[in-house]
Amino acid sequence: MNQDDIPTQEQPAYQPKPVPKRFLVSKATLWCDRIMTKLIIGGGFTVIVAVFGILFFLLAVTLPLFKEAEVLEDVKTSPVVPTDGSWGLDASGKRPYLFRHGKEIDFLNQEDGTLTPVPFTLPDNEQITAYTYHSGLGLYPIATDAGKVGLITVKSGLNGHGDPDVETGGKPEVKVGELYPVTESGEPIGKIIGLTYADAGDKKVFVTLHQDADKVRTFVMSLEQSRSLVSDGELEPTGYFELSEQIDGKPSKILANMAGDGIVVVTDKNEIVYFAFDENTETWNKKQTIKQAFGNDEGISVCEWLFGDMSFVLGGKNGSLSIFSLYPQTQADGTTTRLFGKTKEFEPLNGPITHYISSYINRSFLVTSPTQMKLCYGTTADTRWEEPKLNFSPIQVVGNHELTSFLAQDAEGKLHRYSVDDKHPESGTKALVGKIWYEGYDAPKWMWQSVGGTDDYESKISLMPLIFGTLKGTFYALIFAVPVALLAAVYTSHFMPASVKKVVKPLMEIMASLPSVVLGFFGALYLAPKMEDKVPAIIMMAILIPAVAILFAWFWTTRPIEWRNKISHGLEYIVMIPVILIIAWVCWCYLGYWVEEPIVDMVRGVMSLWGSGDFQGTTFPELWRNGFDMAYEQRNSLVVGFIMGFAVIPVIFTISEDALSNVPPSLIAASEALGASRWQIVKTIVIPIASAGIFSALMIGLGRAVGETMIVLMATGNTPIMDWNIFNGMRTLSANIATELPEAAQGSTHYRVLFLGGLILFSLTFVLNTIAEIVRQRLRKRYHIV
Amino acid sequence: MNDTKPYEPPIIQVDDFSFFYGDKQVLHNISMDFEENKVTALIGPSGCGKSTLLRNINRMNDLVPGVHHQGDIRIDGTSLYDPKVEVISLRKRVGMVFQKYNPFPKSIYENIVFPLRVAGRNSRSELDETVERSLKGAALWDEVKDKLHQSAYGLSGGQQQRLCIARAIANRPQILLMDEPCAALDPIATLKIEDLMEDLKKDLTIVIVTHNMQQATRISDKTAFLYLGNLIEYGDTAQIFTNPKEEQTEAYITGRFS
Repeated sequence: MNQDDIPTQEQPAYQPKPVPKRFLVSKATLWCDRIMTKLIIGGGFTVIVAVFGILFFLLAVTLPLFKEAEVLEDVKTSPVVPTDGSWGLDASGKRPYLFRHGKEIDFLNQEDGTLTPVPFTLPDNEQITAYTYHSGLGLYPIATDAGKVGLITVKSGLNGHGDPDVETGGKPEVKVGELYPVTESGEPIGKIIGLTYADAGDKKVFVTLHQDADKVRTFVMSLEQSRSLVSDGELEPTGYFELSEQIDGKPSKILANMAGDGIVVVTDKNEIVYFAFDENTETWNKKQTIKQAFGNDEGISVCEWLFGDMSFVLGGKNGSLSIFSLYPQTQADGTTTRLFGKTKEFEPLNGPITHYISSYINRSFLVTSPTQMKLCYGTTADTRWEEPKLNFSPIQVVGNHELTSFLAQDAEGKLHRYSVDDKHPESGTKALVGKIWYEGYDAPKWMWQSVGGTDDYESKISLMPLIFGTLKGTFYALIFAVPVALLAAVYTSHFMPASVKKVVKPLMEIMASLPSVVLGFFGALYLAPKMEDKVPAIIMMAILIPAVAILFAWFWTTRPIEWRNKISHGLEYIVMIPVILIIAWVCWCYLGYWVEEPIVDMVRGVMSLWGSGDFQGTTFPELWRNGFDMAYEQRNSLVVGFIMGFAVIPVIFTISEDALSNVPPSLIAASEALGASRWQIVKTIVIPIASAGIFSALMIGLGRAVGETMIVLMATGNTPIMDWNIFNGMRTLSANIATELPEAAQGSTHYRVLFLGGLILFSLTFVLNTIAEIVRQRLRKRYHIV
Repeated sequence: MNDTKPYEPPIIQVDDFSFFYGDKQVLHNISMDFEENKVTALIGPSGCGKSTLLRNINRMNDLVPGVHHQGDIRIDGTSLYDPKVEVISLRKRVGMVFQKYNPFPKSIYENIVFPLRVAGRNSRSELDETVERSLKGAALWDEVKDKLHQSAYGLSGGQQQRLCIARAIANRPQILLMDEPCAALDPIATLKIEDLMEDLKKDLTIVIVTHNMQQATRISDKTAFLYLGNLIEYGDTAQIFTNPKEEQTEAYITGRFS
C-alpha cells in the first residue's frame, strides 16, 4: 500500500467546533484584569522604590560627613616672588600680600606675579624692630625702636568672595594705627625683638620681648576702651606689667589669648609657662609650668593657639604633635584649678614641625615639616588630609581666615597655592561614635551639644548619648508595656467572655489611635508633676497590685467548688477590678506617704553601716539626690515609661491578641478534652503556637517605641546624657531631630548629623523588622502555622 | 439527684435531657443509658443533635455562648452539673477524639504525655511507660517507635488520628467519646481504627458518632438513632439494622432520607 497516496485524496479540512458563546470571556474583563494586575505590581514596586528612595536620600545627605578634606594645588600659577618679608593672605585667598622692609606692603597679582607696593609711614620716623602676622584679623602687630607697639591693618580691597569691595573699589589699603608705648614711663627698654597681640573686644593686650643687654625681658601692656552710652571712647593703656621675674630662661615664643586674660610663654629651656590675669589684684600670675611637654627632651618648635584659644597646638623638633587644653585639674591640696594638660596626641610628622597655620572659623589647622604637610582637626585629632612627600621645603606658609586656601613658599621664592575643600571637618567616625576629650572637660566623653552660644564653640556631635537615650526610653516603655499588654492579650483572648471581648478590643484599638502629642502633653504637664512626690506610692502599687491579685486568686481557689462554679469562667475580673482599684487608690493617696519616711529611715540606717547615712532629707527624692547622689528630675524615664508604654500597649495588645485568638480551636478543644486547665492550655499550647505573632507584636511595639517622637520630646526633658537612672531624663534620636532640625542650616554639619540620626533610626527599624520577620518565619515553621 | 436503686447505675445515664443554643432547642427530652465496655453508636442525619449530645457528656459545650440545658446527665450516678463537679476532672475521666485529627505541634512523645504533664506527672519512667502502652493500645507503636521525638505532623492522616486516640487514652479515661473519628480518613485507615475500637472497649466505654451505617454495624454493640433532636430508637445494633421498630429508623438506614 502506498502511503503517499493518502494525502492526495481530497478530504475536507477538520474544523474545530466553535466555543459556545456562554463560555467566552469578554474583552473588557480581560483588559480590566490585565490593567489591574499591572497596577497592583506597579503599586508594589512604588512602595519598594519609595523605601529605597528614602534610604538613598538619607545616604546622600549623610555621606559627606565621612568625606576627607580635598586639598588641591593650583599648578597653573605659581609665581616666583621675593623671599624677604612676611606674607599675608586676604579673606578670599585671592590677593596675597608681602610685608617688606618695614615700610611697604606689596600686593601680588597672582596672574602675572607682579607686586604692587602700597607704602606706609610711621610717625616720627620710627623704625620697625619686630612684627608678626595675625591671619585671623588680617593685620600686622608691630613694635618700633621707640619702644612702642601698634597695628598695621591691611585691606586687600576684595571681599570674602574675591570680588572688588564696594567701599574701596578693589583698591588695597594699608592703615597704620596709633602707637602706644609698652612701658608706663614711655621710655624704651632695650630693643623689642618679638611681640604678640590679642584682641578681646574692649580690651587689647600686647606682649613684647625686649633684648636688654644679654637678658630677654617680657612685658605686658593692656589697652582698654572705656565705652559710654554716647561714644565708643578712646583706647587707653590700663596696665603695664613685667613677667620677666616669673620666667626662668629666655622666652622664645609668646601667646596671648583672645579673652585677654591668659598668656603662654615658651622658653629656650623648653618650658611652657602659663600666666593668668588676676582681676582683683590686676596682676599677671604664673599658674603653671609645663616641663618636658612631649614626655621627653624633645624641643618645642611650634606653639600656637587653636581656634577658641582654649587650647594650644604644640609641635616638636622631632615631629611630635599634640594639643594642650585648659581643663579643671585637682591640685595636691585638693583645690581644682583650670590648667593646661595634654588632651590629644597626633601621629608624629617625619621631621621637625616648621610651620603652623590655623582656621579662624573652626579647629582645623595645617602643620608642615620640611617634607610633609598635614591638615588636622583639633577636636577629633583626625588627620583630614596629608601630603606625605612634599617635593619642596616650605620657608613660609600662610593661610586665609577660614583656611580655605593657603600659600607655601619654597626656598627659590616660588609660591605654591593650595585650595582646601573641607566642609565637615568636625565630623567623622571618631566624632560621631568615639569618646572625645573636649576642651574644658577633664576626661574623654560621649557628648551631644551641637550648638553653643559663641562663635568659637566646640560642637559635640557624638550620637552615642542619643542612641543611648533612644534605647533607654524604649527599655523603660517596654518594661512597663510588655507585661501589661501581653497579659491583657492572653486574658482577652482566652479567659474573657466573648461578649466583653467585643467591647474591650475596639476600645484598645481606639487607645492606639490617641495622638501621641496628647499623650506627651498629658505626661509632661499633668503626670510628671503629679508623680514627682508619688514615687513610694508607685513602688507600693507595683508591689501590692500583683501581690494582692495573686493573694486574691489563691484565696479564690480555696473557696468551695460550688462558689467557684457560680461565677462562670472569665468573669473573675468583676471581683478583681474593685480590689485592684481600692489598692491603687490607697497606695496613691495614703500608703505612699505613710511608708515614705520609714523607708528613708531604714535606708539611712543600712547606709550608715558603711558610713554614708548622714544625708539630709526625709522624702524619697531627697534620699535619691542626697543619699544616692543621683539626679532626680520631674520629667524622667519613669514618666516616659508610663506614657510611652501607654502608646505601645495597644499596638502589642492588638497584634498579640490576634495571634492568640487565631490558634486553631481544634487544638484548644483537644487540650480541653484532655483535662488541661485554661492556664495550662494557654501556657503549653496557645503561647507556643502564637509565639510568632507575639514576637511580631513585640517587635512592632519596639519599633513604635524607638521611633516615637512627641512623647519623648515633651516628657523627657531632652537632656542628652548617658545615665540609666530611672529618675533622670534622656534625649532620643527622634526627639533630637524634632528639636534641632528647624534651627540647623541646610547642608551644614549639624544638619547632616541630624539626618544621620534619621538614617540610624531607619536602619534600626529596618534591622529590627528583618530580625522579627526571620524569627517569625522560623517559629511559624516550627509550629506549623499557616 | 441520686437514684438509690439496688443495682449499679449505668455508666452514663442521660435523663430527660434537653439542650438549647440560645432560643434554639437542639435536643428534646432525651433519656438513654450507655452500657459499660460497649461501643454505642449515635447515628442520624446532619443536624440531628448527635454531636451535641456527645459533646455534652464531657461538657465541651459549656463555653459556647448562650447555651443552657434541662434535665441531667449522670456518670456513675453523679450529675455532671452538680455544683461540686470540677470540669477539668470530668474531662480527665471522659476522653474525646475529634472528627479532624488534631495533634499538637509537638513531638509524638509530647503529644501523648500531654495529659500526664498537665496533671503534674512528670516522672520519666511513668511517661515512657504511658507512651508505649498508649501507642500499643492505639496500634501505632510499631509504626512510630523509632521516631517518637519527631514532629507529630510528619505522620499520615490515619496515623495522626490514631495518635490522637493514643493521646486520649493515655490517662486511662473511663469513657471515650468519638466524634466521627474516621470522617477525614481513607478506607484503610478507617479499618485500622475500627479494629482498634474493638480492642479498646475491653477497658473503656466508647460512644461514637458516625454517618457511616456500615461502620456502625461493624463496630457498635448498641445504636441510637436521633432525628431532629429527638431520640427515635435505641437498641442493640443488630436489631436496629435488621428489624427497626420505627418507620423513620428504617427509612434512614435504608437510605431513603438522610
